[in-house]
Amino acid sequence: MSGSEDLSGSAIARVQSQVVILGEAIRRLAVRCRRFSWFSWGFLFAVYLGGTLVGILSLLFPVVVTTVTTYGTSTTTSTPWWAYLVGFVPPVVLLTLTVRELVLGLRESRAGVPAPLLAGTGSGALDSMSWTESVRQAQQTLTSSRSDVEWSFVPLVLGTLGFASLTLGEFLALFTTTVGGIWIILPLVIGVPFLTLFWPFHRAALRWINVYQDRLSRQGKELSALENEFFWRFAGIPSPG
Amino acid sequence: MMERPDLFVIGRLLEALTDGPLRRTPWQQRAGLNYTVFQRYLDFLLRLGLVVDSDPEAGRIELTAKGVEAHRFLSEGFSRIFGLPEHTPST
Repeated sequence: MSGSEDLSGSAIARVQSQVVILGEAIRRLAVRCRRFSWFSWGFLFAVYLGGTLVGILSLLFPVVVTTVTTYGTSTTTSTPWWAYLVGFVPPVVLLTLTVRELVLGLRESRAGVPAPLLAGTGSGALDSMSWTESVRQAQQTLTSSRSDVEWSFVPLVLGTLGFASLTLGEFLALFTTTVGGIWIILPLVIGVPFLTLFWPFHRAALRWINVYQDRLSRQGKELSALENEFFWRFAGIPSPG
Repeated sequence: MMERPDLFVIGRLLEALTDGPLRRTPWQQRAGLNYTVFQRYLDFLLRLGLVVDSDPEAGRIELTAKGVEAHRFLSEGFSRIFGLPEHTPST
């Protein structure tokens, strides 16, 4: 039986379990935020990659249309319909992954941390880890996660507008020859409501980080004060190290 | 001199002795530390006078009055910070 199991009923062991749970929740949060950030930027890149793919495919596999009129024949080229489908794949995949990370992160934050994650509280964990330091490191992790999520909104905004433009542009190109200002106006009409839907998710993710940040900030300060008081009171020195 | 003694480790080492004196190996196992880390903390706690080698021949270590006070200080401090109820003996 490990040492931590022996002491499972004690106050300090229970506190350590709480710290492990908190640390694990923050680690998972950081992973979700980082993935969310990567996928957001990936989405922006994929939108323009999709547009480029459609352009390349229309050059490589043009559909030639010959029109016979009373004045003679005229030949025009257009993009094959399947090129649009190919062009949609990268942004749709990346957008799905981005939304998935956000939704999973929010769901996990409500569900708490599953019990199996507490497996790390075994006796070996103490050997290599400073628990007091881990609380401080968790604070730094959260700051980085917050930055990831905040900056992710930029590629999402640009990507969504680009995606709406790509979608509508291609839709219009398939069924009509009307172009011009509508390419700019219609994407905005579609893109803005889409972003409005996204906004609450984004705010919820930041609120989730705020909760942990506030909690850790308070605990970190109190832990430092406890440390200083302990070493001052029982060793007669300020906190060593 | 150790780099930065960890309050949680100190707390657990002191807590392991609250039921009475222990030999070094069972104490080390109860606290869940490897030998090197345990030895560093043992020297540190002895130097602070929180534990004492009460029976050098048998190698038993026990808490001093200062150690009991330090354990109470840490127990209450951690419980206050992390919002846990005060220590209740396990059944």
